[in-house]
Amino acid sequence: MPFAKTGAVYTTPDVRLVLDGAAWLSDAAVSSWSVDRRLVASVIPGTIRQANGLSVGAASVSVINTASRVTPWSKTPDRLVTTDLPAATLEAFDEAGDSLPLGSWVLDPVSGALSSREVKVDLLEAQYAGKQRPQRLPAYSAEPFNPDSPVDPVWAIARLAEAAGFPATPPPVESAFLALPLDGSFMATVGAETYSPTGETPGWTLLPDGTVGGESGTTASMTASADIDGTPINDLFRSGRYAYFTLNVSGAAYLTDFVGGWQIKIVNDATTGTHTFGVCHNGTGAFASTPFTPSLDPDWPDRVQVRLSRTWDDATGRWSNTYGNARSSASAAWSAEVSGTGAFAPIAGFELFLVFAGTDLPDGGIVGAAPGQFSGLQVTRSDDPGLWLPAKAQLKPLGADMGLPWVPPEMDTWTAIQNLCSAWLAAAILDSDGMLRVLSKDDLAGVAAGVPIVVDDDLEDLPWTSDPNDKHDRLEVTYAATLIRNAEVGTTKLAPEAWRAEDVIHVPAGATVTIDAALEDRGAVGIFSKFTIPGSESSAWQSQTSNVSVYGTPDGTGDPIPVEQIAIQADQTSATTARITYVNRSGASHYLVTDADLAEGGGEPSLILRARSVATYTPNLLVRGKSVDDATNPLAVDLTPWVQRAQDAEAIANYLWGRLSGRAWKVESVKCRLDWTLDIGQIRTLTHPDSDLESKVLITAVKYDGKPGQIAQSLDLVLVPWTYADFSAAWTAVDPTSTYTDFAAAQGPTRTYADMSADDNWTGA
Amino acid sequence: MPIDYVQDTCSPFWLWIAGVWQKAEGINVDLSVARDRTGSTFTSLGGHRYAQRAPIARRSWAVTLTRATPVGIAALAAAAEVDDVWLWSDATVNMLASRDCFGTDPAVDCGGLSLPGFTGLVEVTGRVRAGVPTTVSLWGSAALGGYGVTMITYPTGSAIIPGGTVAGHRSTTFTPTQDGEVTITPGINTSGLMLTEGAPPEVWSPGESMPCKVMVEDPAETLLGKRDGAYRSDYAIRIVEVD
Repeated sequence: MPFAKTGAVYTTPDVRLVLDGAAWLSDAAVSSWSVDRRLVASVIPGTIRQANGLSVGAASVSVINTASRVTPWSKTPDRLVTTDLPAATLEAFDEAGDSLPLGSWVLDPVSGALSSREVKVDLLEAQYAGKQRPQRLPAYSAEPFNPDSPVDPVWAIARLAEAAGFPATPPPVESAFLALPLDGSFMATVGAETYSPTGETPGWTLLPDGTVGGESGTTASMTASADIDGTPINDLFRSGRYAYFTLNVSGAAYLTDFVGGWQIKIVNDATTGTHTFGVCHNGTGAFASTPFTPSLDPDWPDRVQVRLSRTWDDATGRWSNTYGNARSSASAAWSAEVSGTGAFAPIAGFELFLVFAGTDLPDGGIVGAAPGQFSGLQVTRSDDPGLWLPAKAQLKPLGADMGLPWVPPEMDTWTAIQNLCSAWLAAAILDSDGMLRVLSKDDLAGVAAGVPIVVDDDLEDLPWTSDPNDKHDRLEVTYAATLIRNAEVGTTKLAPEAWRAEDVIHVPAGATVTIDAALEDRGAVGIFSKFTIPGSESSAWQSQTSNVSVYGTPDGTGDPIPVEQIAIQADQTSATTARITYVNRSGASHYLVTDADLAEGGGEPSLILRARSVATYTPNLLVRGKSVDDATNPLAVDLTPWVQRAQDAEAIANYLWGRLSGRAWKVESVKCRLDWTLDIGQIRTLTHPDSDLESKVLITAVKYDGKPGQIAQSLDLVLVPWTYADFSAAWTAVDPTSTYTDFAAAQGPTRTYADMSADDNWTGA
Repeated sequence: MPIDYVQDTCSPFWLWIAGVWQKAEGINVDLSVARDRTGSTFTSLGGHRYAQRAPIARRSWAVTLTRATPVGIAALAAAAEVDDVWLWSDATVNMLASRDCFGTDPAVDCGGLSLPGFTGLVEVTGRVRAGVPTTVSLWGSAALGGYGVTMITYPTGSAIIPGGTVAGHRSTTFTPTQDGEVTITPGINTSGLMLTEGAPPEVWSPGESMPCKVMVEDPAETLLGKRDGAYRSDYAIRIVEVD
């Protein structure tokens, strides 16, 4: 293994910088380089003070400018041109030709001098590009907000990561009319105006291929409906025109249209070796199945693509046949065709019923299948190769419920991802291959594994710091207890208010004014795009619209502008932003202001956005440890507005308290023997037999400083307490057949916990 | 003595300037060749020492001329102003770089010295001079079924050393008609590669990377005064291997 822990004599590799779109840096030799990558945004002892700092890895490279006189002002074609944040690759090449990427970067300032042959190139980690983009977390699309269908925060992270250029499953392609990533929520990213989960919702889990997906419970199903411009979808895929269903499956998956009658069953089970695709034409017969060759795509070992079409029988006026094939990569041949027959009535529209579990569907069509896991479903009109784009992110379900997911409107994408992770004690890092990885709090607590770091062999020294300020005797955790108000249809009450204008808005004659409304401190679902004048329509209609009132004068005096002249519309652009467009085609100025003659609130700005559901939150406090009066070193952790459920906040508080209330020490910046396999986010065991040291540590920073023949590496380490998982692993390592029952029995019937904790064998480090 | 007198010091150096090899006379042969290969060591807490080094060592020659006239440093002074200069030393035996002469595994007997043999096809490059009969030689091993064929490509032609099953020293000679690069792909299970002008020695000789591209620094002069009718100086010039 060329790039591993280095041995006693090591010939340093060549390092090269490749910059997109810059001819002179297309493959430049590097004379010196340094890389610094850190793990922050995880609330753990030692870095707890850095919880608000967002780390962007940085590198600095000195490149030998072999093309003479390449400067920004030279007139030759290879002059230095830097386009917006071009991507840069820094790679180490050893003499055998193997290479190791040293991270994934975008360009920061490039500097040089006329007298110097070296050019200094600063680089920032590629996720920095996410800091340049405002986030657009899609609005939650349930109608109405359904508190029974939880959203794992990884859904929000997945949407933000996809927007930043790091999709975990292939992003929706152009020809998709339904895209269900199923990575933390049932919400569709394309199509599915409505969906309603029924039964017990599946848990969110990690599939064998590393994607986050749904897992079957007992009975759970989801209906999504879609049509394309009013054309029944069923009319679009017939007579050789196919609808394509592409998804990752481990186990069995059923997709059906109860209205259209067809059903397909995909079994992609590696443990039993069964890989079949079956079709049922009208929901009552058996499946006609055919095998397919699985795992032909190296990037997606569990992805399956199925195409489906139907035959129309003019004589009977019904669908007579449903047929299709399956395959497991974009370039593989299709499996044999299977078809189910039987007459069925034509049906308009399209509903997709995604079954997660093995019991009967309501019409009794399917019995007793194996449970399965699914992710990344797209239903498309063509077999777009974009359906097989490799993932650029690896996520983890965080095991929590975010309630109504929203992100403050002024926050950029990368900051939002790091804040979401930080709130759930997770971390999001870009590893050296350029993959965005989310490490959950269990990953960061980790079971000790991997090659230990032996202090005598691998470290120059072990400087330690034990700071009493890291031990806290009171923990205050603030979370956002969320109050969600739903609009009640057809009542006299107006729907909840999402946003209101603070100034009187003036729209000149003939002008179009666009207002970007940012919903501070709240999230909204289904902002109403239509407006009514308060009091002008029936109350039933009023409770389903936003409000505006328009006058010809800035203070609301005089006659109101006629309704026909008011052209205003709102569009919800993300969970916390909306865009309002007002077009004034008349010859006079319009002012959005209330009637001056009102008893109350006359002459006030009048533009109110209402929504189907609006979430506001009140900070709630959880406390561990001593009371306010007795505590000498309290710590306040603010999880608002992310953590919305009390039980999630309690779990986080327990996890933190276990780590803050005991002894802790940390190691900052220790020089170590060059080991290319070390990376941030790893859990290692630090051992030094002479001083009885055996501790689990988390690597929180890796820094390289390289010159020819000299590559220095240094680490930041944080002590991680032993967990039950470590104890269990150690216990079974000694005796693989024993269980906790055996352990309890070994302690004898009369020993209590008090005896055990007083025992010399159990006290101590 | 005339102003253009140059002392004959048996200097082995030739400079390639403007496409022609020209002898650099008058250089004192008592000069030091420094090898610069950056490296570092790291000592762990337990006293273990780990060394790192750069892949390539580059040389520099501290050239001196004693009691020379300006004519004596003509070639060197011109080379100091030209960008493309190559250096050749007549003392060279093996023209390749040492690290290119052998592979990784297994051991091949190269005239009494065992060296690791080539296991895969690698390409080794060197430089040849026009009009000089040049020999590529290596040792083949009989183990593992014999050794493979070696392919050679030089500026105006190509040659091979055929493979075989009998261990021993094998070679081929050719004469390039122009200066340029020679590419050698040694056969599997061979080692001790040498590129020599003239007959190769019977034991592997370490590579000396000649001819090599150099930069000649400006001469430093110590003016001595008038001797034998001309002003003379001592010169110190550093020649640095580049690329």
